[in-house]
This record gives sequence, C-alpha cells and structure tokens, in this order.
Amino acid sequence: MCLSKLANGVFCTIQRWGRPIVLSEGQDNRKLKRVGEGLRSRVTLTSDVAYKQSANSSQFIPALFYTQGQNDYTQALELKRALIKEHEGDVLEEIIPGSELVNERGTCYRIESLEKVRLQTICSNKAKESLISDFKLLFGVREATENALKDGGYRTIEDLVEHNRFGEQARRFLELIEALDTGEIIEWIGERFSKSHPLALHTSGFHTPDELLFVDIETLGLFSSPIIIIGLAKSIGETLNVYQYVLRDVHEEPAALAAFLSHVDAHCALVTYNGRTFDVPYLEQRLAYYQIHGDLHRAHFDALHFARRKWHGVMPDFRLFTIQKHLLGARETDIPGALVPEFYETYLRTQNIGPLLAVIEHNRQDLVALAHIFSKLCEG
Amino acid sequence: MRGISTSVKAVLRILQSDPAYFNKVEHIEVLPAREPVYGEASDIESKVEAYLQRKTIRLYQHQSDARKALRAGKNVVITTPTASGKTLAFNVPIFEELERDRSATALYVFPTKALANDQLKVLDELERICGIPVNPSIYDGDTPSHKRPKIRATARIVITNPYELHHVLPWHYKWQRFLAHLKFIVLDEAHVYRGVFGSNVALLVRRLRRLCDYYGSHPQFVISTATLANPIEFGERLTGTTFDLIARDGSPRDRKYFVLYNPYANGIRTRSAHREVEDLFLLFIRNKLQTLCFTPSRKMAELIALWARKDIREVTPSLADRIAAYRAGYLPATRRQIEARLKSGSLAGITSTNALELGIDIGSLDAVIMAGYPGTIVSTMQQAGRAGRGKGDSLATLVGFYDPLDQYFMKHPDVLFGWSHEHAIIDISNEYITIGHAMCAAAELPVRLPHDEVYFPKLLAASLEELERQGLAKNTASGWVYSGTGRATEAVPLNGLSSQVFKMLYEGRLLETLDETRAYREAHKGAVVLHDGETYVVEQLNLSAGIISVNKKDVDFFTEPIKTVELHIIEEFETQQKGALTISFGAVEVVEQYVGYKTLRYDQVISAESLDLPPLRFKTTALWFIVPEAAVARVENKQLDVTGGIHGAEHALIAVMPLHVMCDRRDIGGVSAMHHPDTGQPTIFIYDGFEGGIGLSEKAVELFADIATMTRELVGGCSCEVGCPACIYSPKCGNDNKPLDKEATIVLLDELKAQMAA
Repeated sequence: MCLSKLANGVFCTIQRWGRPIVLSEGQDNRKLKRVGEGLRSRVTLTSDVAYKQSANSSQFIPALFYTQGQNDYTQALELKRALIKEHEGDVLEEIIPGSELVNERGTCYRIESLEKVRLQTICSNKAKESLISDFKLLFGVREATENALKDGGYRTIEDLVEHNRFGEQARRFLELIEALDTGEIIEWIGERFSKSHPLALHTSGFHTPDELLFVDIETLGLFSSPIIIIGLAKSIGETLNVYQYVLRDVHEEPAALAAFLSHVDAHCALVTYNGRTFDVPYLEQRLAYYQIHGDLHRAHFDALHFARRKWHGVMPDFRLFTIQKHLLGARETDIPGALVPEFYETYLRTQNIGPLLAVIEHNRQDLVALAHIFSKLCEG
Repeated sequence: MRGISTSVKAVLRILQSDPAYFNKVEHIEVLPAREPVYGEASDIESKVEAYLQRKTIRLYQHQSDARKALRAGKNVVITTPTASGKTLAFNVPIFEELERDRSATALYVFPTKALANDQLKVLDELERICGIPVNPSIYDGDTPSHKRPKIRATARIVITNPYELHHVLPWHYKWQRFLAHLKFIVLDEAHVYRGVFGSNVALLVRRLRRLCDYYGSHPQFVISTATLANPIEFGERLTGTTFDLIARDGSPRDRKYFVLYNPYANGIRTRSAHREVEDLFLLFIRNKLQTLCFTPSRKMAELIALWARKDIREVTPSLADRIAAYRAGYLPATRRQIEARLKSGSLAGITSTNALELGIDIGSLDAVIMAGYPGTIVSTMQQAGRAGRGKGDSLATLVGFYDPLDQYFMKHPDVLFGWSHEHAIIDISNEYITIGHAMCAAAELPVRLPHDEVYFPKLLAASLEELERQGLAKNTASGWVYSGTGRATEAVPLNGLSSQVFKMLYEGRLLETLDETRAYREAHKGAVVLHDGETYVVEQLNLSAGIISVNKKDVDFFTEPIKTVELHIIEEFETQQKGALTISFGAVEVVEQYVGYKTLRYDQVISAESLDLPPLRFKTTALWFIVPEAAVARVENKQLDVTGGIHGAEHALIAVMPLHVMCDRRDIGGVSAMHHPDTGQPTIFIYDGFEGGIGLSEKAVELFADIATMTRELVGGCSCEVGCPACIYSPKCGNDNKPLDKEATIVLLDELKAQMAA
C-alpha cells in the first residue's frame, strides 16, 4: 500500500493488482496506466507463444514447452542469463563486425558472413527434360492418355505441338519454358498437380545458383508485429554469402525492408522453409504497412513442402531444426525459435545485446541449414 | 387474405367470450391499418427499374427519401419499423451506383451470421434479376479459407459481422481493390451496437474509415436501426460522420390487434404460465393462424413445441408435424431448413428464442405470442412486428408472467404503448476501449499524429504514449508502430463473451454447441436437454475437453439449475470521500455456482439433486459503499423493509448510471446484501459486466453524487405506488425483483444525499 497525493488534493490509498506503485501523475494518467497494464497482460496471454502457468510453481512458461517438459525452456533461460552476464556493457558493432546501412528509409545494421557450402542444383537440361516428358502437365491427359500418346510415338511435349487436341496447350507450355518464366511454370504445375510436386522443384534448374535467394526472417510475433531480422543468403561458387539486416530498434524496420528488396531483382527466385505460409506473406504485410512498393510475386521454392514429400515417414516431424539434425547433425548451441520474441524483447528492454546475439546466430544457422536442405533435395 | 382476417376475428371472438380466456384478457390495443404512401423516384437506373417492375414494387416514401439522400452523397440513418422495406431502401441506390461505376464496392455489416445468410439470398436475387455483376459474398468465420482469395479479388458486395471485420482489418493490404473502391458501408440492425459493445464497434468503424482514407475512398454510411430517441446523434457517434434522418414511413400497415394476456389476472393460478402459452399457441394454430411464439429461453422454446405437438396429435394429427422449435445452437443447415418451411407455409407454428427477432426473413406470419415481457420495449415491438407482413389483420399477444415487471405492463398498457423511445448510448472517450483500438490501429498502419486524430478525437495521443510505456508501441519516423508480440485484435474483444465452446455429442454425432455459461447452466450431469423436440439426458459434462455426452431418453420431466451468486472483494484500489459517505473502487470476483438442480414434471418439483461443479469465476472492477447506519435506522423507524430498500436502491442506481457513464444497462450488474461477508455491513455493489472491468464503475465513482441525486429524483418522481420498471424494477434481476420496497428506497436515497452533503 502506498499513499499518494492526487491532482485534486485528496489523499487516498492506492494499490494495484498486487504491485504498489507510487504515482506522481494526475488522475487520468493513473487510470490510463492501469488500463495499459491490463492491456499488456492480455497481449502477452494472446501472443502466439501461449503462456501457461506451471503446475508446480507460479511461473508462466510458454505452452509449447509445457507439453514437452520444462527442460528446454529452463535451458534457454539459463542461456539468456549467461549471455546477459557475458555481454554486460558490450556494443553490437564491436562484437559482430558489420556496417550501418543507410537508405532512403532510414538505417539498420548489416552483417555479412561467409560459409562453405557447395550448393547442389539441378542442371537446366535435366530440368527441361523432366518437364517436357510429363504429358500429364497438359489438361486432359492422364496416365492412360499419356501411355497411348507415348505408344503413338510422341516422346516429349515438343512432339505434341501439332497435335489436334493438345497442340495449343503444348505450344503455350513450351513458350513458358523458352522464356524461362519459372513463376508461371510453377503456377502451371500447381494447377495440374500441386506446387510441391517434384517437377516444381526441377523448375529451379532454370535459375543459375546465384539467382536463388535464400530467405529467413525472425519476427516479434506470428502476425503484424515488427520483424527483427531479415536474413538472406546467396551461393557464389563454393561459398554461401549470408546477409543479415538487423533491427537495433523497431524504427529500423523500413530500412531493413528496403535493403531486402534491393536483393530481389527481376531474375531471382526465392527459397524458403515454410515461406509460402509464413515469411513471404509476412514480408508483404510489413511492406504494405510501411507503404513500401515491392513485388514478391515470383518463383518461390518452399523447401518444407518438397521435404514433406521426399522424407514422408522418415522424419519424426518437419521442423527445420529436426531435418537439419537428421541430415547434418545437431547445432551446438541454439535457442528454440519460439523464444526469439522473448529474447528480442529482453534486448529491447535492457539494451543488453546478449540475447540479440543469440537471435542473430539462430537466424544465420537457419539460413545455412536451409541451403543444405535445398541442396539435398536437389541431389535427387 | 380474407381468410386470415376472419381467422384473427374468430380468435379475438374466442378470447373475448370463452370463459377459459376472457377474464385473462387485460387489454386489446388496436393499431390501425394505414394506406401506403409512395415517394417520387425519377430516372431510376434501367436495370434496377426493370427489377422493380418485375417485382411490381413502387418505392414508398422512406425508400425514395433514402435513395434521394444517398444519391446526394449524404449518410442516412433509417428508423422505419420492422418490415417496412428498409433493406430495399438502400439496396436500390446501392445497386444503381454499382451499375454506374463498375468497380464500386459496398460492405454490409450485420450483427449476426444468421442475418448475413438471409441477406445473401436477397442480394443474389437482385443480382440475378438486374443482371448487374456484383458477386455478393459472405466473408465471416464460416467462410472456408480456399474461397477467401476469390471473394477478396472479385466480390463487390461483402457481407460480414463486426467480429470478423475486427480480425480482417489488419489484412487490409489483401483487400486493397475492395477498400479502394468502397462506396457504401451498411450497418444494419445498428441499435444492437450500443453500450460497451457499441463503443467498440464505433472505434472499429473509425479504424475502417482510416484505412479507406489511406486507399483513397470515402464511403457513405447507411445505418438501419429500430426506432431510437436519438438516431442522428447515435449515427454520428457510431461513425464519426453526419447523418440525414429517414423516418417518413410510407409502408402500409395491417390492422394489428395487440392483446395483453394475463394468466394471473385474478390471482388464481391453476396452471403454469407456460401451459397457458402452449394453449394459446394451439388455439391460434387450430384457427389457421401461422404463429410464431417467442420464449425467454431455449428450453422453453423446445418444451412448448414438444407439449404442443403431443397435445395436438390427439386432436389433429396432421398439425403435429407442422410445429417446430427454432433457436441458436442448432446447426446452420437445420436452421435454413426450418426457415424455408416457415416461408413456404408448411410449418403452422414455430417456437423460438429471440434468435428470430432480428430481421431474418421468414415471410409473413399471422400471429405472434410473446411468452413473458422480452426485457425492453424495443424488443417487444420488434417481436410483435413479426406478425402482419401480409395484408389483412394480424395478432400480437404478450403473455404476462408472474414477475413484477410483466405484471406491471399487464396493468399499465398506456406505458407499454406510449413509451418514449430508448436512448442508444455510445462512448468513444472510454480509456479502456480507446487504448485497445489505438493499438489495433497501430498494428494496421502506422498512426500519425495529429493526422489520425480526425478519427480518434479523444485520447489518441495519450493512449499511444501509454502503449509505448507498456512496450506495445513505438514512435518512429513512419509514425506510431505496434511493437507487441501478440495479435493486437485478439487482445481486444469486442464484447465480453467467453470463447470456450462446448460440443454436445450423441453417439459421437454433434447435436449443438454451447458457450461455457450455458453449458454449466443447461448441460450439467443429469440435465434434461431438449433438441428438436427429442429429450436427452446429460451423462457427462467434461469441462476440460469441452464435451457434453448425452443419451436419448424419453422422459416427461425437465430440470432447472439452482444457482448462487457471490461477490468477493479482491482488492480495494481507492476510496473517495463524498461528504460523510465513502465510496470504494476496486477489483472484485463474481462467483456463480451451480450447486444443484430441481427436477420438475409439469411445473411441479419432484426432486432436487446436488451438483459438484466448480464455480464460474469472473474478475471485474466494482464500486461499492456501506449503507450508512443512520439510513438503516431511519428506514427501520418508519417500519419499512430495509432489505427491500437496499435492493431497490441498487436497481435504481443501475437504471440511472448508464446515462452518466455512457453505457447500456446490460453492461453493468449489481449485488446488494444486508450483511456482506467482506464488509460485515449492509453494502451495495455495482460492477462492470466485462472480464477485467472496462471503466464504468470507475467513472461512476467520480460522478456518484450526480448519479445518487438523479436516482432519488427518478424514484421520488415516479407516479407508481409500489415500484415499476421505470424506477426500481430491473429486467434482469436474479431474484425476480423481490424483495423491493419503494418507500424504503426513497428514505434510503434521501439519507445518502444527506450524508454526501455533510
């Protein structure tokens, strides 16, 4: 309990939800403050990392960990504490060399790093070969028709251009392949099979390796909250160049978005893990939010969907983390993705860069893992 | 047509002459028939004109007034009665504009999903006959996700509800085409948007307007509402723009006989009021009046249908299958089927909760029965308006229950028919509501000051600053940006309804869904549940899984829960001294416990069982005060009932408070006790009806002196003798308005005033 003098000069006792606070503002501010605190606790409770009260203590822990046991969560919190202790007083720019990026939308922090990854891709001849030899890519052709056509001497779709019934479709499809319009080819495949059909992955062969832009973002929430990091990677020769645009504070988001767009040129294709559902719509929403014009509608290879097809029944689940563990071995230290918002919030609140460093490293590792997984998928 | 008219006359003759009825008829009000008044409508767009000709429609006065105003770019609020053709009044000018401008779009917002389905049929027909491509589509929680992109890309009329709109606004960039060409926003049945819910909707509308502005559109508003005392002010508060009033009703009216029927007229009660309702229901049906019977609960809707079917089977078996019950909780397909049967005339009688009160199009009905006073006069008139959509006479009957409020209206028809219209209150300066919507707005587009203060004139800057202190927003060069981790819209509920849904399963098949409170009340272990005329007994209520398992059993009894309500003080935040009177404000917990249930056969209690259910807890904020000893002494000295006085004062304070704190009566609740365990003294509590509190009782603390003064004036100035709905009777009292003592209330309020002046 505490006593405070109100604007109107009347003394009264004030105590709020178990936590007494000395108030110096007037009546209205005090009320707004109480309202604000109530709202904050509701936002936390409805946040996508649902919090649940632990059975044997009064601690709230994310529901995700509640079901798996609390060890992972406790470990992550210990990691956070250790990082905070280790980086007391440190400055980001001194710990991770990078550069302050300045563009027309403001500033953000740009980190560039190299990783040795020999990216396997599909060669364009093989891509074309497999696409033009599947007659089922034409509407009206099923297994039986395909066999009949092949028996009739038609070997590829190219042989069909003069065909009475399928000629027109065949010509249109070949035009797309001539033009290397991968976005439209994938649409075409999606309409006949699905966008996760192996043929869609083959389409990536029409791009040179350095046209493939690996994208992975870290965010404060699952929808309409600010982005924390936009991570990109490109394969150049035997190395993977990783570019990370980090928000040192929320106001740096527009600059990071504009920097991201500068990598998206007319020829590039996106490679993501669950980006069809998450990363790309999220980026689109943030671009629209800041009125930044950018078109992400283009060829997009979502490795999650191809992985599901390829390793169905082999992997226990299809989280990036799990696939990576099976294919490449586990990471040394890492934070669970679900805790990224909590780590970043701690950084924002305390200005201690320890938790931010963990998020940056998490994002970098995700990008490297994505490149490896994509490479494995292309190996055939 | 003549047949119906003679049927109404025949029924009236029976009611007035048959000894079984005539002494229970307290009053018959004849609402005269009226000839149509047509308006002038020149140069109607040719396709719409063709539609009107084909349907042989000539626009009534209010319809042409609305058209003129909308064509002149005005916003309109239409207040003509139910069934006067309000929908056509805006559909005509909207379709004309959609034809003139082939990219124009319109948004129709209805308070419930059921209304949306109904409206879709009307719009589909309009589109088909006019041949104007509109692709009207419903976009709500039931819309499958694979259909959504196409609707966003092509629909020119989108039908939705406020809850869906609230969650759609953050996705505005996907609605760019629709929003950029938005010409009209229709808010139908808008009188529902009052009090706290209305204040939330008002800020939601402002968020929508801000986005429209961003995409370059400036839509006109159409508000359609039941008659209100303050329609123009209401429209302005709901949307933040100015309105023209469309009230010159030109629709023809049937002669309507409004019967007040009182089973307790002579104090003699041989049968329960519900049985009397069933009896009237059958009387009407047998006399070829297609009848809709409104009941106060889902259970009574089922029960009356069940009884009626059983009883008539013995006399006229063919009619038994033409009686059905209708209520929320039924699956949509079942509801659609019942609506269709009602419209086609294959149903002779239907019992329903107020689910059918709002404008669901069920065609014309000859008679309406209301089993008990529906709670507000607006509702009474809306329900009565369901009778008489055709031509000829129609009949509405209000059956008075054994409740002081019902009985009051039975004896005072002048009050019922001469009541001045209710005020619909909206408060856009409530901190709780504004800060939530300021946060949602910041999550939709960066908020710019002072530019966006056009939409949120009050508290926007202060709200944003507080959001920043809470880490929920940041002031950046782009504007104020949302920076929370959760979904802003999910932290801001538009009303305080619980979200847990219980499923009722019979042999693994889903019968219906219930919310938490209803599951506790109506689906506890042992409860008899009626569904579509069949009786089921609840085997198990699994609270954690949200599953209710029932077994089909043909029983002739039903069950009624026994509930206790308690209020505990969790924490006193502050006290304010008003003279010698101390008003407290703080956090309280309202605890409702279903402790057992009674089993009844034909209204006779045959057994009582106890229940082992956890209490339903609800944390909110409340104001309370200890009734001064001097006041209690004065009441006792006059040999008056202290408990009745305290109870009466609680009701009257709740009646007056909405005018001062800008809410609706249903937004607040009260508890009064002679000895409250937490204070040990006679205490009156008034609490916010929203989890966590929403600032109503908080504001009332500041204004308490004014509220108490006005309450005293109200009760003292009321011409009734022992209390009435205009003073100390409450439409939602948990104790059937007992005990109440008007004189004691006055003495008590006088003493409160004296204490505050001290």
